[in-house]
This record gives sequence, C-alpha cells and structure tokens, in this order.
Amino acid sequence: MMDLHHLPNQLPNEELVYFLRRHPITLTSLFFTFAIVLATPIALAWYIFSFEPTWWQSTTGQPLAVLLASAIFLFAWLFLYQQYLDYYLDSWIVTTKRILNIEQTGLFSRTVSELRLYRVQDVTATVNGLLPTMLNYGNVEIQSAGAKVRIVFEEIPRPNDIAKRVLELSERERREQLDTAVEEFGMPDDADTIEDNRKK
Amino acid sequence: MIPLVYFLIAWLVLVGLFGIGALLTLGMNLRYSVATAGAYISTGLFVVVSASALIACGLYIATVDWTQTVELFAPISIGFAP
Repeated sequence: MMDLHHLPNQLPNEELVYFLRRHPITLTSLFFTFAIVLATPIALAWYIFSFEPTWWQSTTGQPLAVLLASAIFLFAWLFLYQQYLDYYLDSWIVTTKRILNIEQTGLFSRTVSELRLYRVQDVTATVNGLLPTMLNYGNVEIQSAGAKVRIVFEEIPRPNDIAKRVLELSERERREQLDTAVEEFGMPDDADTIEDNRKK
Repeated sequence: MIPLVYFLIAWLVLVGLFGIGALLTLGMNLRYSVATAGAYISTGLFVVVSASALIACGLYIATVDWTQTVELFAPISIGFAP
C-alpha cells in the first residue's frame, strides 16, 4: 500500500496538500447496477414461491436454487468490489512540489504520471450539469506548456477551490525555482538587456 | 436423469473461479491502494461478506443428499385426458 506521507520518489521538503478522488456520488450508478443484479435471484425466488411451491419443497429443487442464487450473489459481489476498486484506485495527489495522476483502468492496467508544479501554465475548473452544480463537483484541467491538456482531475469535489490552490502552489514553486537558480548561478550578465527587451 | 452432484461440482468450479478473482482483486487492492481506513474497511467488508456467504452455503450443502438425481426435462402435462 502507498503511504501518503512517504510518496514514491519523494522530493526534499515536499508536503502533501490534496489527496483527491472522484465525488462519491459517482458510485450511485454502480450500486444501482448491483441492486438490479441481486434482484434477479430474488425475483426468481418470488416466482418459485408463488407459482411453483412444490418445486421449492422438493429435495432437489431447493439445493439447485441455493447453488444458483449463491453463485449469482458471489459473482455480483466480486463485480461490485472490482468496480469499486476501479473508482478507489483512481486518485490525484497534489503536493507542494508536484502533481501525481494515478489512473486505474480495469484490474491490471495502471497509469501513473507526474507533473512538476513549476511547469503548470493553466488551470481550468468546469462544473456542468444540475447534480454537479448542486453538489459542487466537476473537472479541473491542468495544462503545462503545450497544446495538450496534461492532467484532468475528474468529478472531484470543490473544483474551483482546488484550481485556485493549484495555481497558487505553481506560482510559488516557480518563484522558488527562480530564486534557487539565481542563488546557484547568479543573475545573467545581460540581465538588464533581457529586462529591457522584455519591456519592449 | 442427471445426478445432483454434477451441479455441486459445477458450483465448486464457479466458486474456485470466484476465489481466484477475489484473490487477484484483493492483491491489487493491497498493493496499489493508499493506506487509509477506507481501504482496510472495504477489504474487510468484502472478505467478511464473501466468507459468510460461502460458509452459509457450505453449512447448507452439508445437509443435502447429493446422491439424488434431477430430471430437468420432465414430460409436460397438457392438462386433459382423451
């Protein structure tokens, strides 16, 4: 298991800021599906009790029904757990130095990508729909230099607050990187010329 | 006439497949999840419910006479006598 206080490839002075997952409301459809799957043996049991009671009372019908119902339940339960895991293992970690994007696709497919905060150029928060607006969850798109969006926080709670904080962290990290570079290498000889050209 | 034990064997095969799937899923969870209370609770809940279901089935299966036979395709009675 991963320890949030000891992240992989941890950087010096790195501290955890956010550990994000999708809003729990996104699990609703999964539980509905599970309920429907479980309703199948229950409906079958009701039919047998109502219309074929002698079959249930027979010495062979009952064991068959129990075997069938237990098999359906066990596989539905395993399916529910796997789908829950697919939600649970998707996460986004924001620290004072970087952003980690951990995506679990299926049981045996996992992608981990990392973006240093000082490379963040643009952060966009979007909330679309009635339920997301009411429950305040949505997407945060984080873009580095380049046309392609690098990381998307999907259906997370409080996207506007998260976007604002990520921007603040990225600006602070860029300043610290610049200060460190100046301390180590000093100001460039033509710094004044560069500044003048920039103003023009 | 099909011996009832054949269905028990088929059920045991399905339970074996379930066990393999459950072990793989639990292994993935323990390896890649974050060490939070939610991870431990979800893992414990899955194990407890699965074990309870299997134990309950096992206790019931022990009471059944599996030497019986099942006639799946019994002749259908039309409902009137000529």
